[in-house]
Amino acid sequence: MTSPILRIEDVHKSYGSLQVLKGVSLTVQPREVVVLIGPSGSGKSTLLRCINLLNPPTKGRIWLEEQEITAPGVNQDRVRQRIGMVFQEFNLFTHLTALGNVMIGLVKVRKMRKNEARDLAMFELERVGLADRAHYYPAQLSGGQKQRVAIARALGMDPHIMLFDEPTSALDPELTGEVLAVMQKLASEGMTMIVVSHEMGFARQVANRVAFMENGVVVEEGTPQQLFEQPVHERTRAFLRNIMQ
Amino acid sequence: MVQDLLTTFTFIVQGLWVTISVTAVALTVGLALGMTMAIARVYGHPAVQMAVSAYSVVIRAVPVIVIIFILFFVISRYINLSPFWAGALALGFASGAYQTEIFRGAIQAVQPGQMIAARAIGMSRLQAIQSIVLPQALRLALPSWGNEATLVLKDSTLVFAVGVPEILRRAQQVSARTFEPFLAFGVALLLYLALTLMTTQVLRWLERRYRLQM
Amino acid sequence: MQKQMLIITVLIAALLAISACGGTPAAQPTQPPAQPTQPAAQADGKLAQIRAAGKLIVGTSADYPPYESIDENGNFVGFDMDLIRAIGEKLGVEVEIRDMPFDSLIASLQEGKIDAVIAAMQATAEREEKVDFTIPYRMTKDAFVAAGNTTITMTKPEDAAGLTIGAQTGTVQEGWIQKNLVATGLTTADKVFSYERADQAALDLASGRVQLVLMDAEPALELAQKNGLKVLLITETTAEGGKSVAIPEGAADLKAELDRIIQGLIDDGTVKALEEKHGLP
Repeated sequence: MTSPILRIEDVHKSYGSLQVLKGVSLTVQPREVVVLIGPSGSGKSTLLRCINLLNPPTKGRIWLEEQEITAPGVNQDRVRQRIGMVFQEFNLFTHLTALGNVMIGLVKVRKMRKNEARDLAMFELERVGLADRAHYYPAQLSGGQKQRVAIARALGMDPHIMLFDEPTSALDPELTGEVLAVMQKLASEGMTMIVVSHEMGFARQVANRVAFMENGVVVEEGTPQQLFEQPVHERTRAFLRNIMQ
Repeated sequence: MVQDLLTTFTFIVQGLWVTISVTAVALTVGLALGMTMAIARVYGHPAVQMAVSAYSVVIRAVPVIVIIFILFFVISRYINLSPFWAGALALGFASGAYQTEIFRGAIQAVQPGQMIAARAIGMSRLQAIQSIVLPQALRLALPSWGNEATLVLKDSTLVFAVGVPEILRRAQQVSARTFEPFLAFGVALLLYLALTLMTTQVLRWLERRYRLQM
Repeated sequence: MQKQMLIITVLIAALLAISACGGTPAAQPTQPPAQPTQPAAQADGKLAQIRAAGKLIVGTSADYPPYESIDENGNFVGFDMDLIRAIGEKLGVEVEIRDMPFDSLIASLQEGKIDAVIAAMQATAEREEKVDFTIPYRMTKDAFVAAGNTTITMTKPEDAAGLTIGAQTGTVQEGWIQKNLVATGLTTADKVFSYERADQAALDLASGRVQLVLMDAEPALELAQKNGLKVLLITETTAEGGKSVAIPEGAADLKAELDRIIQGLIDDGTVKALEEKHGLP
């Protein structure tokens, strides 16, 4: 058995007296796709932000490729380079074109030369099928296109793992397909992914594992089949019943 | 009459370059101060934030003319400041306080998601401020900044208090000699009007050129 | 509170540091290079300093013709300007004139920004506290003004005895009338009128309510010309003080030398010639 790419151990996160995560543990193997489901406010998004240290945990430890990234003195910027993140609200840089959005990290963080960065950025845009929109500004793109640019931007950093925080929730239903297609393609290429999503179809088709979170803890996890067909916990069942309606 | 107008104009217009230089120096100094202090105000250590607020409050409470006098009569006991530099820097320090507020507002108006996304691709805080937040804040600040520029242009008349012969002073000189205040100050008015129009046109062009697509 | 004071102190220090960086300009568009600042306290030895620099820096407020103004070519012209250049010649140094608002002149002199002030300035007690003055280079003169069709003639101030006479309230001229005409019994008190403004006096002259008005000679000439009045006599007797050059406080050597030069220019008729050139009474 290979060593896990990500190991989360008893992670807590609170904001003042508000406890959002109450001891989450999760292990992700390379090339695995894990989908996190659960009601809103259950701590899924917070968990993602703990993993890439945007909001470091208040307690607990996280290892990324054998390195404990929650240890004191870790260069958090370096860690984030290895973790791609895609947001519900896209968060494209509004003053830059699609190409500029992908390039800026390559130039500023990976210190690539401009022409090299441009070539790589074009390659990443092609990967998400948007080479022809390279010179459009975010405001000139549809929601689905924006999210695909955001994915290309994350891919440009050559991440070892990708986090998706409800990537299709802000999209009109007819636009979710193109984003999910790109994600599916990434999964098939072997990208390790943690996806917070309500897209049960995607979870069924693409996920290796599904974890159900509620009230700051992982209630239950397993293969999509196990979780969707034979959930063990009553809370899981209730949630699934709710969402299927 | 035409001859009078011509001599009056050629005399007063010599102050144009002085007015432009004073305004340009003041705006540049104010821009550097304002941007630095706005960043410190939003992202800095609480003590730094307090210091910036104190500067902003104190400077905005003091009439610009007093700052000019302090620089020219007090500070220049220790540092050799010509009237031009004392006046222009004083205007710059004053404008810096106002520009701090302009840029602070603009930085805070940039969506928080921009900073988060920048950090998520591995940018340091400083890099994110530099390449993501500031370029957007500057665009958002442009309209207010243009307003500040025209205010500084008008405040530039104050530097005459320490003997810098800008447009208005030259108009006074002509008026004293010819006893035709109407002509002299009319020419001054036209020059200021032209400068203000030029400034607003340039800024409007910049605004169009760098408009943020939201 | 103490913390705030500390912050303000730090800010001022920062300001100083910033101005230090900006203080060595590469290009100065309009101003000649500023002289090194001379501490106000070291006023003595000023004459030697000026001689060593070969230059006398003089402040004026060039909006007061015919004393000082700027001609269409940007040159400083007027009675004071000609006079200070004549003084500079005698002193053997070049004269550099700087224009600034009248109100900034004394402060600039105190701070050593300029070496002297010539701006039709009188040595008032208030100014004497801050700077020193040379002997007057031109005494203040008063004028007796009458209606245009008057038959009165005067050769000396006391010729006003017995006539109705007006002056501005609270002025030196009113004081002279009270002291020399009323108190001596030459004129009864009911023949003396006080005016708020000179133009009101001019109206009363024209209507014949008052026969004479005693006032400052320079505005008197202008008033007479505008209102068709007649100037009967111009005299120094009724006036007090005169226009002097202001110099830094305690600059004894400079004062002595300027006093000597000014007296020389009065004695050799230079001042008189300049007065005539500029149409001064």
